[in-house]
Amino acid sequence: MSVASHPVEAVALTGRALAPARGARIASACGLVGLVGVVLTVWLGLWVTPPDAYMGNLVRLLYIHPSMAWDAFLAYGVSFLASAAYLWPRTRDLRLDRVAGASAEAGVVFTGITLVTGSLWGRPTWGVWWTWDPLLTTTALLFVLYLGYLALRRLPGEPEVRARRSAIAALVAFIDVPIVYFSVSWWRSLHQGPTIQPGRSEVHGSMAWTLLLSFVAFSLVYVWMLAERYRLAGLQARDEVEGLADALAERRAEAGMSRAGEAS
Amino acid sequence: MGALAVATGGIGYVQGGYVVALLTLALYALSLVARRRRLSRRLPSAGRTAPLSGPRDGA
Repeated sequence: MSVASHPVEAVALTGRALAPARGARIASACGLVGLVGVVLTVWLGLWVTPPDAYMGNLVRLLYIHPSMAWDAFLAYGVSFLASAAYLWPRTRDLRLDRVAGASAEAGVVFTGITLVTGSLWGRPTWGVWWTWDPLLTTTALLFVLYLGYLALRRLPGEPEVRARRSAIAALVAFIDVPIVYFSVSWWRSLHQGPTIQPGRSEVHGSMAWTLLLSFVAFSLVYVWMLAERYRLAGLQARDEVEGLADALAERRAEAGMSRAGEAS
Repeated sequence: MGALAVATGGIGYVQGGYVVALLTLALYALSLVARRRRLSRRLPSAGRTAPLSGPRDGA
């Protein structure tokens, strides 16, 4: 085995070790700016912006609920692209599989929050915590699909086999994302249609700025979460490899001792 | 409960929503950091590059 054939040493030789450190700094900066943005969003959303003419104070929930849904879509989109790139033979790399898994996990967190905050908004607005509305149902399905995807990732197997089946599952699960988005247009829905569309917005003044800030802040938080989960996945992969190597060494040592015992 | 929500302008639901969202994100973020730090401590060379002292297996 040459020096460069060992993964850790190859990193040192090619100078790639610098890239993760730089990436970690950028991710930390995103996390910090995102955190400040979230604090500002909470301050503006709860204390500064006025109550809505129709929804009253309930409108304040809409400064976080749509951003959570957007971040879930963003996370699943990144997971989809990374999975597609992994399945493409020219770009096949286990790091893409880790990106896909890390992003999907963040997406599940954001989807869960979307469902809960939506339910908290729906109870006083519609009079029910939950209804089998197309948007709500397809969002719940999305949550379950990606929970299944995360469970599939934990099944044992060779890293390449696991990555391949996970990538296929991510592509299948992503089919539900456009269905969720367009469900309010395709079917009769209790849920309102899109309030903000390219070139047209029905939100004004401080409410619009707070909503925009919320989208940016939580997206930066997502970037930090993705980077942190990706680093953790890398460490987990190394831990798995080293654990296997240790187990093999122990087994070989045991076999050597038993042979020595038989010989004596 | 519906009457209370109308009387208070739904502020209880709003606060509940903010608490759920922020608490969930904070707990998830903390769990990520804690798990990464624990693994970094366990893996001796995590976050560092291996010294280039020579081939590992004498090749």
